[in-house]
Amino acid sequence: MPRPAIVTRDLTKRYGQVTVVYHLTMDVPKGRVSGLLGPNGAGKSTTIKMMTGRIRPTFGNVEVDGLDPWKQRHKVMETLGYLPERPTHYPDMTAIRFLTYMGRLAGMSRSVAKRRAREVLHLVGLGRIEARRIGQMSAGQKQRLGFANTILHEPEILILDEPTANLDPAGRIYVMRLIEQLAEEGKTIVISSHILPEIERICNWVAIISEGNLLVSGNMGDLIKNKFDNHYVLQTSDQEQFLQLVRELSYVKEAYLEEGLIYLHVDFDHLLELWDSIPRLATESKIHLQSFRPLRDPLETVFIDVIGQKGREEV
Amino acid sequence: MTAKPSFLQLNSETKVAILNVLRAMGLSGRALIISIETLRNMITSRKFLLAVLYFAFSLIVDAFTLSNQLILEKNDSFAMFKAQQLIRERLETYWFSTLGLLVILVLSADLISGEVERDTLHALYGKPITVAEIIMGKFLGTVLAFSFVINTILMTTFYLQATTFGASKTALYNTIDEVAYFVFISFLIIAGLVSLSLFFSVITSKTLQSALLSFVAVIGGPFIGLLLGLSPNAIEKTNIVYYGIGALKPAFFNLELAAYTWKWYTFLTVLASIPIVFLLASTIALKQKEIP
Repeated sequence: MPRPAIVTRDLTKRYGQVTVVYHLTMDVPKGRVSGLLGPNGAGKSTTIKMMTGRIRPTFGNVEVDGLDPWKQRHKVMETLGYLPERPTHYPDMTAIRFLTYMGRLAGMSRSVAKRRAREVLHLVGLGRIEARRIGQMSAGQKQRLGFANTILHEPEILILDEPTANLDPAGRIYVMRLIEQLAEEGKTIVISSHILPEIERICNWVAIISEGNLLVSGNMGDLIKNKFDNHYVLQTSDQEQFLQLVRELSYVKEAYLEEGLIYLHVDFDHLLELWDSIPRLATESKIHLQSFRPLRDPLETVFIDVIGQKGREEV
Repeated sequence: MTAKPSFLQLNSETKVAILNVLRAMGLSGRALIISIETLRNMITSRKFLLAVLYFAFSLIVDAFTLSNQLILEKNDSFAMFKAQQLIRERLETYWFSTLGLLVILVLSADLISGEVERDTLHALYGKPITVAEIIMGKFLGTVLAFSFVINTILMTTFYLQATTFGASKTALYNTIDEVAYFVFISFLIIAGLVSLSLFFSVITSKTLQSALLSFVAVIGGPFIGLLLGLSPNAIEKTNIVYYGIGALKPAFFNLELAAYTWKWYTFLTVLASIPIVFLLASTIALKQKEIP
């Protein structure tokens, strides 16, 4: 088994009396896309800042590719690219000048830095506005520029804190495709995000953090295996009639129509029957079944389960 | 006897070790890149333009003064005496006086704190550069910008004055070493001031705090020195009113005193050690600083 890309052992960060990250121990696998999940204030960004050498752990340690980021940040940064939650740039510089400057700081010659800057600007879809001053760019364009800066020196490990924040749907899809491309190249990618479907689609390893504690971590497949939701959403060509039909099913606890969609709450023990019955009912009644999906994705179910369980334990 | 190997002949491990030591000291191409960027930002900023106008003001004053001078006697020694006298006056009145210090300190007060305020330090920290390289780059760029402006005006003033009072070409040529010494001293003073400001810029997170602390340190340091009697002949010249009303020139005053009373090498060593100490302190402080 290859050495993990990032290792944390009892990683703890305290600000005065407040503990933001508490004895976090995890191994982020190499060459995979990992998701760091958690509600607001869970300690994700603080963990990431310790991984990137921005802040010093109060206790415990973190290693990136075998190096301590706090003591050897400049060496860690040779193989690490970090996209902060709010990427910041020099507003008076143009996009191309900023990236050329950053490339030179990464050790490239002027001509190589400029060529690479152009390359990554095209890659993130900012090629046409390379001469625009950063101060005149929209929030989404700045986010893309931040992403371009992160991948500029072709790091092997990428840590992306909310990479799709500030992006419109088109930008979000664009950046997610880029991340998928980088993952195909074998890069180690760590994504912190609130958008669970994105994480579920792209990540193959997940860690869920809440209030500085690691609640669960592991392969995505293992975590969402046998995680089924018992709430479903249906859309048919005749909602009123189909609602009557599903209400007659004995294991349906609740069925109602809201904003043109049928919502079902079913007994967990009868999920297989439900999946069998719904298409059959539609065929028999000659009602066209347009969509039939769980209300929550499997990862969302896992997330709610572990966060809820922690809450119950605390109560 | 075998010849010592040149740097190119050393094995790669030794080269890497040497380069790593240099990088740890902030002496690298990356520091130079940051210094060029800092220099460029500095000379294109409006604040710096105001500073240039302020320093150039002394040149304008000289031009007016010279045009109204009645020159009765023209000879080399008189011309040189007048030129040196003027340089000293300019240094005291404009460049290393309260306002001159304020201009240099305020302009270099945001070197690191400004990056923290604007959140742009993350961009530098995102690339494989050492803290020492950041400090050295910021320091060099700023010192070069100020040195260029101040020393250009300093030399222009000197030669303008000397020529007006009839100095011959030979006399002017013979003063090159003196002017070079002045330029070097001026460079060291600017380096000391910028390094001090850089240090406060690292330990505070607000530019205003950094500027105020630097100013208090520059004004207060020599004042405390004088009160403690560290400088001979100084106490009798010291009084609270002189130092309290704002027509202050303690930094230059002490420096001038030291220049006359100390050996030249002691004077230069002390002057050169100021930026070295503050650069080292700034590097250690930034290394320990968390960037949230």
